[in-house]
Amino acid sequence: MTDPGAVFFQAMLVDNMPLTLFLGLCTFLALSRKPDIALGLGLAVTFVLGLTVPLNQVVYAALLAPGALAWAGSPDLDLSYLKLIAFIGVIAAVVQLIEMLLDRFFPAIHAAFGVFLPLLTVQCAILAGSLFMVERQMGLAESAVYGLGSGAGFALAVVMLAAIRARLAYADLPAGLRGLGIAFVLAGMMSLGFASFAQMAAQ
Amino acid sequence: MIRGIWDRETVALILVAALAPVAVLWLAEARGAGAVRLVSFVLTIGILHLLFMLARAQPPSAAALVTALALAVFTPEGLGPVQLLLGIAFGVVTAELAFGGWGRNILNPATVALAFLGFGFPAAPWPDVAVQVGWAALPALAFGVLAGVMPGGVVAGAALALGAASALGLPLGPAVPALLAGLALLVCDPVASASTPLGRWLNGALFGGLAAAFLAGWDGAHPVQIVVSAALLAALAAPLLDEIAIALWLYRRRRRLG
Repeated sequence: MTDPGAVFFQAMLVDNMPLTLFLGLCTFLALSRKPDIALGLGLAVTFVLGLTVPLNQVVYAALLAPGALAWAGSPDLDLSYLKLIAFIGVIAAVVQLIEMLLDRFFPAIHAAFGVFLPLLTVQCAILAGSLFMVERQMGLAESAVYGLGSGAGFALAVVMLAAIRARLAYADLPAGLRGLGIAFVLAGMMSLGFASFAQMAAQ
Repeated sequence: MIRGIWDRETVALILVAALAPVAVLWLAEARGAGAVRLVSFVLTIGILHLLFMLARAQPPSAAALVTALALAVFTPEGLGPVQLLLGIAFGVVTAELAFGGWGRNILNPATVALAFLGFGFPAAPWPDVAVQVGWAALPALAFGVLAGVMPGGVVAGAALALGAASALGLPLGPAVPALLAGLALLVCDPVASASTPLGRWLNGALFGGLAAAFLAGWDGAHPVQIVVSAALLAALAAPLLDEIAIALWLYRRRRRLG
């Protein structure tokens, strides 16, 4: 496995889901009005990405990859074309299971996550994490670090944006820029800032 | 907000006075071409302020002089007038005037304009900051902090982080003039930096830490490019650092008072 610190840094800052890859922007922009709400969303994304990416790695390596079913007597079978639907199914099942377990055993954490957990079933950044895992041919441990790093990067970005938007209380914005308009402008500036990490990694 | 003589323009004028040594030594080094550049930047930013005054009744601010000086010192060389106009307009309009003018903005307009120019025109070489300009930033920072218009915590936090990096063996030498000038012109903006005491220390330490990390790991990057990148990221994180400082203060208060 590549250095775990480098994988985490790469996933969190260089390949930041909303600011570098522009994934998960709907929740990123819609739920970044208040820092506490953004923190809840960031934690939920980190939790779900940290679980589903390694789980999907196991599913892909054991069932879907070309030659994965050699153990079942089908060495030539290639089910990788099913990865999209399989990953979505795994994500939906994991999210549902987590929600039920949290609701039953940790109601305080369930209440803190609120509506964010079920919302993440259809978030593109969550699915993208698993698809990138396949594309970059990651092992189980690497995919777990990558999932956690991607989630931490999303959490950092959304909490930063929420803190900036909280400061907009002092701004006198033109009517057309209020709300989502200025959020897009700020996200663009954040993206400009995070581009430094990509430039550094590219050298 | 006005408190005694401390209205927005008093702060802006004291900032201009504090940064006068940097301007004088930079002009002495850059000579006629530098003066033309500075005056053209002041005029460009002035016209943008005038347009927003006519369109939105936003009073222009003397802080435009600080923005023009920062841009004149750090703007990449070899850019044409259209490219410069694009970069300056992007920074000044989207990072300052669209928010209601200086004092209501979140990010330093010069930092945003420089980041935009550096990212948009990567082939343009960054300028070298002369040693005397870097040293002139020291009295500027001292005067600004003593006059209360520059955050002392940011300077101290940055010094601590960069000092720690130097003690760990990172050679800061060639980047010191750019780091000092960047600290005075871009990072110690009283509006764009953190506003809580702990947040300011963290803000400065983040700038210093990011600059040290970029110096150590970003091969081939120019010191000014590193300073601009670190300044933009530190400014973007400033509101979050304030939120963290306030949350810690509330936590301590709840523990003490129940």
